[in-house]
Amino acid sequence: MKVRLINMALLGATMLTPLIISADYMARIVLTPFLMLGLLSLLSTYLPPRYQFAVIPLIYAPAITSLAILVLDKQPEYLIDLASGYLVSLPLIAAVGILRSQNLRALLSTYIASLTSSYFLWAIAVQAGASKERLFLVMINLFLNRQGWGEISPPQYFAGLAAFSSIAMVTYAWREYGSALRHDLGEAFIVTATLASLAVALVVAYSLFFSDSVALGLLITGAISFYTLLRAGVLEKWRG
Amino acid sequence: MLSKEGVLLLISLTTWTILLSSLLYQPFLFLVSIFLQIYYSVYILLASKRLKTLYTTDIKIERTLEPFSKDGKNFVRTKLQLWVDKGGPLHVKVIDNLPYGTELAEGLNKAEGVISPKQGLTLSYVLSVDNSIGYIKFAKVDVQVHDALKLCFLTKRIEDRSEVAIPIGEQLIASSHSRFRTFWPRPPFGLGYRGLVGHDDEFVGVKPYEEGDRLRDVHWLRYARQVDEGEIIAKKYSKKGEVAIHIVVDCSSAINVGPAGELLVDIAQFIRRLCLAAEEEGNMIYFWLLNPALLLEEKISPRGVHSRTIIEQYIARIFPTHGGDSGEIAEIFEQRVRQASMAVFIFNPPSENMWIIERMIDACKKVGAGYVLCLPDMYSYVSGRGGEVEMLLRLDKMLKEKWLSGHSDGGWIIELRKGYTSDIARETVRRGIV
Repeated sequence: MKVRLINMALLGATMLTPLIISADYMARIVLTPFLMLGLLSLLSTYLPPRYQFAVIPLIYAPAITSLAILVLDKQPEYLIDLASGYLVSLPLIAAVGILRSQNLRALLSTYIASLTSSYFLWAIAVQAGASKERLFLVMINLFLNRQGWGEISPPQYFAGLAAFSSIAMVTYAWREYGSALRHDLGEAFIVTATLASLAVALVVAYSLFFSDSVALGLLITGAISFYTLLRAGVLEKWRG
Repeated sequence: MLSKEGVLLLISLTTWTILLSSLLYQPFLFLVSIFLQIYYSVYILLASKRLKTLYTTDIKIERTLEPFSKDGKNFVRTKLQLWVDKGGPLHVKVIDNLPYGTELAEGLNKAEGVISPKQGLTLSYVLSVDNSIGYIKFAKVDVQVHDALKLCFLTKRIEDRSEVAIPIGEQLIASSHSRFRTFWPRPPFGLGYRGLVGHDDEFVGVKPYEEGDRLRDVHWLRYARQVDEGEIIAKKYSKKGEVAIHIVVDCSSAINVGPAGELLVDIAQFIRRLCLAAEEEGNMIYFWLLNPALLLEEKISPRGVHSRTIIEQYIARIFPTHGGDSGEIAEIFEQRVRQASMAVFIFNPPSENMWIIERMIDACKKVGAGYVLCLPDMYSYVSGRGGEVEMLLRLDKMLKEKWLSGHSDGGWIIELRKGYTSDIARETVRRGIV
């Protein structure tokens, strides 16, 4: 029971950062009825099997209604709001994916997808608030005009939250999937976490003195990944 | 070695890092990505190093086999248990290699789980056995030991020489027995019903008692004299006029002929009938299998074979194998072959073992033993003629004829035709052997 509680707490901590960022951008945008419908309709796909009958009307009813208004009344706002609703549901869907992940790869993919999508939506929401435009249109503008990304600067506590959730995720993965060999490989967890943190600290420290630290980060990760692939993959296969 | 999961994880993390850094320059997400990528890369390196130091000899295997028959088909229920004697729990994936002539009928021959001294892993499945197979033998079990997160693994092959005889093989022999009586009116070389040999066993000496000797053959008087030494001595008999029939089978890849291995099935049937005929006359059968996949004691029958189950065991060991035999078998053959012997060579030239067969034929010629060369008629086994196939068949025939012209003097030649191995006599007459 205690183990289960600790695992649930770690999973909660993993999901906390995407959820806080999602709450932040939800507070910044204007919540229209069709945006909420779009959000709920995609989230309804995770309903339990006995309520699955509600999924089809929840998805099709707002979509057909907004499309009918566009065609008959020539008002595109409802359709755009619905699309925005679908968009803002993405981090939440990915967060549910973290809860339901069955293996390490799924856990990691959904975590990164949730974090990335929530941050992008936060950036889009900030831009939408500044320009008083609709969320969906701002997103299209941001992707068309890449300079727009440079104007957005996230608050410092985002970095702290991301570090916290990353370590929680790594610890959770170790506890949940590392059931065997824990005794032998217990030190690996500490060693790898320390080395990864040191590398991140090195890149951050470098960025304080020099302008572009991305190249250094890429070099470190690239070299280690290449070495790993060579050492544990290609050479082993060749020998075996 | 990296597992599929490990490779996918590294590739997806690298993609994210590159995407976030170069396409959507976002330092905050980039640092998260760097942290995760370095963490998992270093972890994989440490885990794979640790796996190499594991003692997989501590992994123990136990197999139980239960043959049964259903709707005229043969099945074997297999149960494989794995556990580890000492040490911590290991996350393993087990793949049991299916023996020759079997197919999976129910369940899976692989399983995944954690094994420890307290907890074992059980694989349970049913194999369907080819009707021409009377004996199946398991050889090796592949065990993959994973790391904790299943990102890398180490593969070990564990020997497990379990074997089981399928009872239905005897029924096949019984049915082929009656057919053989019909189809072989005038068999050569003492195989027929008009006995060339008698049943009068002659005492020729003594030998140490071996497992399988009859109790009444124990030389009690001799044993009483040297009872202190404790070794049991048995009497050695030979039949007057007995012919030792040596069946030599080349198990190279050349016998893998026909879309469903028809030549193999025909060879198995041919050998069964040969054995039955020999058994009727009281002649002994000796097997010589040129199969590099077998141990030496599995290739050669140490004594005359008369049990139908043992005959089936040797037939089951006839399967096509890559690579040539070591040739050690030829030396032993040279020592054992006598004038009162007859050798039946079943092979498909050209093959990697031709030099061994040639040496054995020379040994037969040297001691004056009779020999029969049984070669397949490739035209009957290969379908879909035309073009290159026709040319290859002609080439094959030419090579066979050339080889035979140099080695067939003094021996007989029998051509095995698809589905006609039961009618050897007719083929024999056609070829003008008798």
